[in-house]
Amino acid sequence: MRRYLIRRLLLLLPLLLGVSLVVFLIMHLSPGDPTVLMLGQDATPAAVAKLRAELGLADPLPIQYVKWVGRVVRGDLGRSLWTSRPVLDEVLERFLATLVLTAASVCISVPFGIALGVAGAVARGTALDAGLTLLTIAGISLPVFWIGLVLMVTFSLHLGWFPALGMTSPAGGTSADALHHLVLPAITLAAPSLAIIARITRTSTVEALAQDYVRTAFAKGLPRRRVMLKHALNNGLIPVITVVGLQVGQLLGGAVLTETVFAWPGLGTMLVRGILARDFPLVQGAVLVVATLFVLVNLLVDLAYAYIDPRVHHA
Amino acid sequence: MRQTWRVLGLILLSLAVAAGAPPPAGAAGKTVVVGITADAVILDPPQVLSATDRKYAMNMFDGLVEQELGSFKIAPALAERWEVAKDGLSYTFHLRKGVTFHDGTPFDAEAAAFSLDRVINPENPYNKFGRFIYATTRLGQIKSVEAVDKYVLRINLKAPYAPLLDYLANDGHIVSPAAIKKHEKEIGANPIGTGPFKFVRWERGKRLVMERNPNYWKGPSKVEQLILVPMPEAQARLIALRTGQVDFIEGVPPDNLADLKRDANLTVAEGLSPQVWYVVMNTKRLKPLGDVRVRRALNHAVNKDAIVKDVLKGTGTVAVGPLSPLLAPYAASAREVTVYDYDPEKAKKLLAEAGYTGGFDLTLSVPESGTGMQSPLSMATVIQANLAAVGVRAKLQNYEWGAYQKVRREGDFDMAAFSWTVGIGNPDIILYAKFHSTEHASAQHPSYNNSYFADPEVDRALEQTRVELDEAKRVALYKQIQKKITDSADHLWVDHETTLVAMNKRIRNFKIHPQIHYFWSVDAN
Repeated sequence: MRRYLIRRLLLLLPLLLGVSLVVFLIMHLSPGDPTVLMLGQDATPAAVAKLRAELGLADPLPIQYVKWVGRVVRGDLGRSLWTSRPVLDEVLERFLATLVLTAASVCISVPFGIALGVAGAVARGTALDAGLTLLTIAGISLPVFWIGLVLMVTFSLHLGWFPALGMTSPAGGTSADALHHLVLPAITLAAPSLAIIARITRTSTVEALAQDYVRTAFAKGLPRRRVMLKHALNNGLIPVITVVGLQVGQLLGGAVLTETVFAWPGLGTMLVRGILARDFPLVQGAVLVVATLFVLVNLLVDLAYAYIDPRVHHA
Repeated sequence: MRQTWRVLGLILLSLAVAAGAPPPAGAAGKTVVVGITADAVILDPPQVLSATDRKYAMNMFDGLVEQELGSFKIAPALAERWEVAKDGLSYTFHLRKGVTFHDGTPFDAEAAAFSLDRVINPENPYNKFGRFIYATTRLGQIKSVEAVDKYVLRINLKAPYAPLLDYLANDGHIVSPAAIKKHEKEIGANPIGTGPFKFVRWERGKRLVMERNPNYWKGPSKVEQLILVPMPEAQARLIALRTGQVDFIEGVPPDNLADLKRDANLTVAEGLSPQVWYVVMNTKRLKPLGDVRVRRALNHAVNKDAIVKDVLKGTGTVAVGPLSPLLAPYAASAREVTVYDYDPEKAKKLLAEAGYTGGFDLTLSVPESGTGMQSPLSMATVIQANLAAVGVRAKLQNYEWGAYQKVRREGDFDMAAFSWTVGIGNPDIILYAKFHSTEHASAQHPSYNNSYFADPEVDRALEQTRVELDEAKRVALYKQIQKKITDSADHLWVDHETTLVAMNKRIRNFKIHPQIHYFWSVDAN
């Protein structure tokens, strides 16, 4: 187990090097120049040349990359071209908001998704199952920004139950105020994941219910509830965990649309702003952090298999 | 599984608690909450890079001179009066007495000189802590700044420079020297000026909180607390306004304007903006566009009134040239330039005269979005249809804004939609960069003459306006330039966007300004 863990962690290094190279190349080779965007109408040739030199963009690309990797290895992700602040500070500041939103949406999508999935499997073929299928397909297909706006119009504008946007009230607020602000964006963000989890849970539970050991369990006269939870669901959950892991990894990278609609100050909006402004160090640094997290979350998922399914051994 | 249900129960409980929590705390008492379309990047006035940054920073600062609310006219601010030397090489400012910075240090000539010197003088020990891009451009003609007396400041120039006061009002805000020395590289997040509101805290991406400056030299504002909140999504911003979460928003989408005006709880304020939305023709790439008759034909083919009325829902003014009427007295009126009325028949005739009876093909490049670009794709679609009606087949090619800048710079287009705006009442920055023959854009020379316009007379006139200090003569020169430009017909000048803000009825006495929302004069119930 330990060897497996060390091997997986060591694999992280070439992976991140690859990610950093790809992001660096995509950012630098795509058309658009941060100095021209920064200077706007004042982009005189002299001003552009001066700013390029100041920002270290005048060096040839391979040299820029090597310099950047050299700094990253020493724990320095560089400074944002626009704000001149350390990229790590920018990322950490935004990461907290993303983490809160992700955690809240996972707290909604996982239990509700599994519950709906099991309900669908148990009620297979009934009107309830058909209704749930329709609901989950809607959850997967409706764009999140639309879901967000509909929730906002309904629960903020018409019913006045929840604030429309932001992480807290404009002047800042208590934790109850923060929780109040979290509800709509968390539900919005949870909707597609919840739907996917429900679909997967339903399928895998239906499969599990058809297995011999379940039939045997019923035949032994075990109570239905016990068979469902102990025998069917336990095995049905394995693919669900994979999906949850992937979803969490994705969400940690920032939910761009949800964050934009709800003016949520997370990583997603920061990344988009960085890409549009061609803030090379900011995007490179943020992607590196997100990629690391993604890999770590998936590693945790793989480890969780061994815990849930005794047949799986990591050696 | 039991645990799952427990978690579920907890979530339901917390949702119930959250729903039962007090309604969203809107602005209470004398607090005004403002929804801005984006977050700020930096709050140090000489370092700001965008119109958005200005909106966040400028309620905390003053310049030696300022723009009158609602116009670009220059008025005294921290300087009560000034004199210009006969040779135009120095300006002497007599400063207001008894003004203090928000940190309690006094404002005087020494402080003003230090603040400006930090920007323009690379030798200043605090210059290295900031990036002052306007030092070489807008303020580039300043040779030195000196304190002559405790309250007399002199600015010496390298050459006479007519737009100096305009740029001082826009880019020469005075920052506390004590704060500059204390915060060094962090000055951009610690704005200390003399303005009507004092900095309290800035949580990036969340809010900028300011409180009123009780010692403001114009008298304290009635607003006690001013909070600016970034809200990028337009519809969400509208909902926040309607639910009372914010009191004031900018960036009102044209489609929602009528609704907002009908809402009894809201007020909409409209004003002229200095922006212009246009399509530039590259006269050096596609043969037909090199012919002035063809360019005039295309100008006659486009129905600008329809674009403003139908696409923009009236949130613009049809343009006759590059300068918005806000840039009076320099902006030429319809009588002073060549105007191209919507006349498809005339367009077809001109095309036939030029030998293009069957029309021709071209590409019309347009960005997806961008500051001041209004509704670029819908507007370009109307233009495409208008051109098709006279036989010119335009293919729309759209770009992301950053990539579009490269297209513009390298002249990689036949016709391209752009917008331009100025923050001052002097048209130099727009006209010189767009029409002087030394400003032809290329990969090596990222300037703004994208039609490759070249006219020695216009060159001379543009150079003359920079050093001519007699306003009447400058006005005449600028009008002559605008006439020449419209004659050449290498741009379709479409419209000037209306500045639009909407606010809760509790906000009173708000006066709209072209680019910045000033809250000193505002009162709130």
